[in-house]
Amino acid sequence: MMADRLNQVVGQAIAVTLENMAFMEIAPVQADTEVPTSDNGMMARMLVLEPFQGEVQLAATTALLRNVIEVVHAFPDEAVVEAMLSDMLGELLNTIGGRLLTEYLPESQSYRLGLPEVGWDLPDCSEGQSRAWNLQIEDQGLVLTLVGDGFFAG
Amino acid sequence: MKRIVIADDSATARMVIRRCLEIIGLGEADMVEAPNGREALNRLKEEPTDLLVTDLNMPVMDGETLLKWVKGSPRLTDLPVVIVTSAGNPAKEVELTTIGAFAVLNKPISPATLLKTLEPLMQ
Repeated sequence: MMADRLNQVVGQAIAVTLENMAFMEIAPVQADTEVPTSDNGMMARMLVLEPFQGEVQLAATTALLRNVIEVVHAFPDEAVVEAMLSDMLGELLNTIGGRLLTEYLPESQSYRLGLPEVGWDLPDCSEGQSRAWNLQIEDQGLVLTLVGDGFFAG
Repeated sequence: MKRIVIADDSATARMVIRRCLEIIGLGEADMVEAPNGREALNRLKEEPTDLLVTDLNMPVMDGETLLKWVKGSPRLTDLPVVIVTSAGNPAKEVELTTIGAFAVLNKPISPATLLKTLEPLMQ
């Protein structure tokens, strides 16, 4: 039951964020979807500070981030620089993470998030269970990972 | 509205807010961007401003502190402050509106939500 609810909340948080920010739709990952790695993508992490200790991670291909930037900023692809890719990924993570916790936690439960940090080589701060969701947007992969027992309790 | 200050540490988030404001018909306003609360406060002191749209979670000075400074300033106290945050919940919303926030909106915002919120100020 709890896993079903988490599935639903994660899917909804990503869908609403991408739809509102960039008019893009998510879909389940396909065999030919380009999966984000340190070679073709970027990863961002954000700590959950309260009511439990955990982490939300988001990885995306740079091609996907470029597409989103093109829609949000109306920038031509060649004008996109790395700082914009980092900022976009961080803001996507911030928005998805907040939405996810708002929907997942009881209504009266407040929570506190850290600031997003971008990088594949950041040290692991969080411990406990983890689970990843692989999705695709316009043939490009997006992976959301939740770390911390608080996400899976109950 | 002639001047709107948008505070968020993410350039992406500031652009999304700017776009939403443009879509709801406020594109002619002078939109001034700030990457944190302290910068926003400086921008607010420069010229009369009609609206402040701010994030909560920012470095240097967060949105809640900015709200408290604005509401504590005799010159700025009447300025409507809309908080746009990824860390909103009913308890936080009550806390922020008690301090003086005009509205608290959850990210991602949409033009429709923003229009509904700002309609009373636009008339």
